[in-house]
Amino acid sequence: MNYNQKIIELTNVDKTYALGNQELKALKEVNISVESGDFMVVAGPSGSGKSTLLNLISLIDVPTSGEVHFCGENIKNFCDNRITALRSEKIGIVFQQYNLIPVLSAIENVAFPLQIQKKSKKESFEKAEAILEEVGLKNYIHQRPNNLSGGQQQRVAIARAMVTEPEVIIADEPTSALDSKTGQEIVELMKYFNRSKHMSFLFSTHDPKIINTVDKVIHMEDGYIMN
Amino acid sequence: MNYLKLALRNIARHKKRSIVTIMTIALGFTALGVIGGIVNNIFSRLKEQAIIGEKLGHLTLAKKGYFEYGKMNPEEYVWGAEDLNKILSIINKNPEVTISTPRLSLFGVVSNGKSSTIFITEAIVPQDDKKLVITDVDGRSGSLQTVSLDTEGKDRAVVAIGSELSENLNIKKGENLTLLVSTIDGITNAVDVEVGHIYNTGNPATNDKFILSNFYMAQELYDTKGAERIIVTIKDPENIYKVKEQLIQDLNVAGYEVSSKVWSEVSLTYSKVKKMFGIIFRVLTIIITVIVLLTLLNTMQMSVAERTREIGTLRAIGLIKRRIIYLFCLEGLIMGILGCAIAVPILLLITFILKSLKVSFIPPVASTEVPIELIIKMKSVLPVLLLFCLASLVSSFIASRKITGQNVVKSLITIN
Repeated sequence: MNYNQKIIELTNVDKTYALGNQELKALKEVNISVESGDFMVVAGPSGSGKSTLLNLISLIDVPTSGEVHFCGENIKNFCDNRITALRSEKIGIVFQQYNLIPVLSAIENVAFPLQIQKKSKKESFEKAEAILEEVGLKNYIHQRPNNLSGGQQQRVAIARAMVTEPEVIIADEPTSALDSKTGQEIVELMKYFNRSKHMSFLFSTHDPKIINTVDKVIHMEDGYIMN
Repeated sequence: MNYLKLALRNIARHKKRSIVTIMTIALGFTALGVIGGIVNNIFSRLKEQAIIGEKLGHLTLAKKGYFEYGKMNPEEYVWGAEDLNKILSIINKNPEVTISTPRLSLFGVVSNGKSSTIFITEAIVPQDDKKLVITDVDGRSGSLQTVSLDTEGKDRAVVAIGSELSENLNIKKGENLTLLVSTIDGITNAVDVEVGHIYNTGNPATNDKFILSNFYMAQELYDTKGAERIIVTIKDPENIYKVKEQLIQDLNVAGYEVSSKVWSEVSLTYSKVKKMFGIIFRVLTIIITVIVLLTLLNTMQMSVAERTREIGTLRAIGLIKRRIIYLFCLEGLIMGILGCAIAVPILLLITFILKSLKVSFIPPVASTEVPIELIIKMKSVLPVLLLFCLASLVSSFIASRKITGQNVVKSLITIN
């Protein structure tokens, strides 16, 4: 991976939501890029537009105006299936509430994105097992999510996001549902993968302790990027 | 990815709901199976009634034009003795033919000496009729209780009459009747006959006027040595149309222009009753299928609504819309197949119970009781199975299509 190569770039992006007859501008004139190897935090109070920004960067939403470039390509004219394929191959997503598939075991959850990519069962499960070992869940690979703690579930979710070796991993408040110690462990884990595998991480939080541990911080307020 | 495993686990996730849905499908399938089985039984009994009871055999052969104009000008459509023998000889050469027997049908006035009424008579060759009554219809050889005539030549003047006709004329077994008809040349002729049998014809429309008579006596009464029809039975009824064409062709080659009809075309009631039951069965099939479809739709909609965030997650991590729809369709299809599979032993059990209890009923256009049995045929069960599977697919598709088209973020923020 080339360092400082732009993976995602947002240019003059606005995002407006319709709330009945009113319009709510969640993002205003946002310009931001995520480069390879970045370990970035999006910080700001509730309602500042953090989640909206991450949704646009993770290509699960589209801007009202402005442009989103992924690896230099404007995604405006991409069809839904192509954007879905991009997410599958290039982006890992970690959710605040872990969002694991409840009927699948930890290893099946982690292997799932690889199987979406039509990788063989053997390869998928070998990779999933290896990565679960890396996140410290070697003894829990056959447990279903309801038998795992919040921290363990979030580790599974991180493993799921990483298993396809994406360009960037985006996490929307990955620690907010966890206690501060576990939250710190999750951030350390993400930092470990950022350093060891040179994967870019972009996540949101409003925990000052976490904000102080990262390289780049984007401050948001009322839909604007303040720095 | 093993979608089948995932679908099965999702079905097992909400056991109670899945069981209720599967049982609804099973009940619907069982209901249609029972109704279809009874209808098949009625059709089969009607078929037996037509082939043996009405003594139509499998095929009726007559001079060309007989079926259209024979009643108006009967004399024109009677084969003479020589032609009849030649035709019978040609028919009997066909290896598929098991019985070929000449027939005459006459009508006139029957009298007990005090009162009289109209009658119709079917004149049969008793020796051939003995073979006809044991014809195998749907695996029930000789099961139909029907009347035949004595085969001894001295009993030519013994007839069997419909039970309602006997009541109307106040005639008992062993008493005499006089039959009055017009001969082939239009001259009035009469004969005294003895009532040898009184029986229910199985058809209310004929039970008050029907007389089964001896073919040779009828020939004398009608003043002919020939016959107007030939009744044929064949080994394999599946080949009925093939044999029919072959016989017509063979007779044409020999210089005889003939018309032929299969038993279902000749029977007065079979086609009409079959059509009526066909309509009823189709309407019931539609109603039950709609119920199954709505139940499945409700289940799948609840399932989709509960799993909206999961759908959003699957979309976010890279599963395309049609794969998610496929997953839900697979779940619906599995429930549909499971429901039908559960219904099969239930159907077999009901079949066994009905057979054991020996429940009987009087089918429409019949006047004798027949046992209620279920005749389960693959050709009637398979379309229902396919229809239910289709209903499962359609309901799953409808339920999942909208939600998978929804914005991923909107799906993800849904609180289940």
